[in-house]
Amino acid sequence: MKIGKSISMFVIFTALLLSSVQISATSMSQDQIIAIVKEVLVSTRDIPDEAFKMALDSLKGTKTLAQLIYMSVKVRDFEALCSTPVPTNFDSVNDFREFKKLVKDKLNPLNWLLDLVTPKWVSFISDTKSVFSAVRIDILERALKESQYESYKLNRDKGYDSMTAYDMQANSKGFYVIRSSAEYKNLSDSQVNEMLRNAMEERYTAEKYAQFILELRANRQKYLKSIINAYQDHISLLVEKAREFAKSAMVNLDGTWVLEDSAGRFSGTMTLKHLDYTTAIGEVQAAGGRINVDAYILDGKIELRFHFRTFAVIDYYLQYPELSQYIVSQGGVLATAIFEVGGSPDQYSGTLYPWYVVYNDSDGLVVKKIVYGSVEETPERARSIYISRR
Amino acid sequence: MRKITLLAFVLLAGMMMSMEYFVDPNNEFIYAVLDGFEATYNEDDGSLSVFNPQYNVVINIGKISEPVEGLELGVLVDEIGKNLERSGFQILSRNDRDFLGYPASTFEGLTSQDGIAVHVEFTVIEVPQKGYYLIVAATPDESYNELVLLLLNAKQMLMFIE
Repeated sequence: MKIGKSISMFVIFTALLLSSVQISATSMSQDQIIAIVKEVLVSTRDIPDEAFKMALDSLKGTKTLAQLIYMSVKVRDFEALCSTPVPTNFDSVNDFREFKKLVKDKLNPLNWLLDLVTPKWVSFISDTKSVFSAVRIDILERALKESQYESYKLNRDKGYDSMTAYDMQANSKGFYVIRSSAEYKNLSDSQVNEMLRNAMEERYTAEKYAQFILELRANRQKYLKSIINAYQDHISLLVEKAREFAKSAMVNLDGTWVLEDSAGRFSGTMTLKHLDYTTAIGEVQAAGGRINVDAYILDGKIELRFHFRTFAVIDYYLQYPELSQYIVSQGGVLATAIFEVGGSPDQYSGTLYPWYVVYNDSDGLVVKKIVYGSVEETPERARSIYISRR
Repeated sequence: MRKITLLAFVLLAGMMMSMEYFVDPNNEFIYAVLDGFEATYNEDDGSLSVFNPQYNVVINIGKISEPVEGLELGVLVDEIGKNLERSGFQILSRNDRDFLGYPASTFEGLTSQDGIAVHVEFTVIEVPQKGYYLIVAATPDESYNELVLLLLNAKQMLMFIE
């Protein structure tokens, strides 16, 4: 348990920010997601990117968005694997090393890929992932050039495992090269055989990976479709929302609004500024002081939430300091208003769901419950509310 | 149809916002990084820091514990509260309402750093199967009232993968 961490958290913020690793490797942009959907679904190319962005913003917090992001990460990783440069000459130490590193970095996180590829590649990838973790030694390259690698490869292709595909007797030149190095001259025969066998298996694996990458590249479209197939429902929902946003006029809440509460209590001037296409934040200057407000654009509706959190504004409405202070100590309270979208973009009428407090003070103040204003919690107290652009 | 699409495009062009999503390397959560914020991941403790230089808003998201049998959120939160107070933290409020649809508690309080009063929110969330997460959100106290909803909405950009 790292409870202590929470205490020192703020103190180390500055250090955190300075020492942290940039996130580019693990981030995904809306533009990338949209590009993928448009590439695979030709029929969506007429939808403006901005409508897609609005749809994505409206899906935040949902499983659909999380799944779409994971899909896009998979596609991006797949593309990176496909575009890995494949060496033409596996005898070249540098080319080989470069390739080995690229493949190791890209393939390790791609276990999901096994669901898409043919069985021969599945067993190949699962069996041989560890091979590349060995450190390759320069001298082995030279030993291998003289070795019977081609016959090793032939035998491995026939299905013999690396042990039986290896002819221990036939590697006299490999022995000669390795033993000529001062570092390895005292190795036993079995140790030299082990080194040669590992080196040949590594090269064999590298060549197979190269083939695998070339096959992915040749069938790129097919594989892209298979990756995306598993996310069909989520994509459909995104596309449907994007089409709706493209068709209907956009709700833009930026600016100053006059707010009229039918009971007069929260009436005032409201300013809002968008954080994304479907969320805006701001404040209402009401008779009781400033009320923080945020707004969410939903399907055909706008939801405004009024946050009452300071003593001054709460006590303006309650006129009961002890009770107001108690509400402040509980993090404040909330009222909600829901507006219909459809008519003028400069005025909306809707329903306000106010908050209230249940308490007993016949024998000292006892607060029984603080009820947030919402469609679910205070439908019986709902009243009409109206906003218009100033 | 063509006309309508074009109209919508022209209207939309006025806002032009685009979100970046951070994907946790451990595949447990996604964070949508709002315009104006910078996100950095700390590999050492597996936490994500999000910073808005314009408003001096800092948010840190990290896991504090795997699920523990018999451990209740309330007990854990009480302990964190006591620890905060012991370390000189002035707790202003505690809110036990759900956050992001998960059982949660939020402490709001004051501390000071380099002589500047800092308003900090600690939100502890219990995510089924995954464990307990802590979101720490901080900003200079003098601007907290103006920024409280920016903090709240930036915190709400967190999505857990279930």
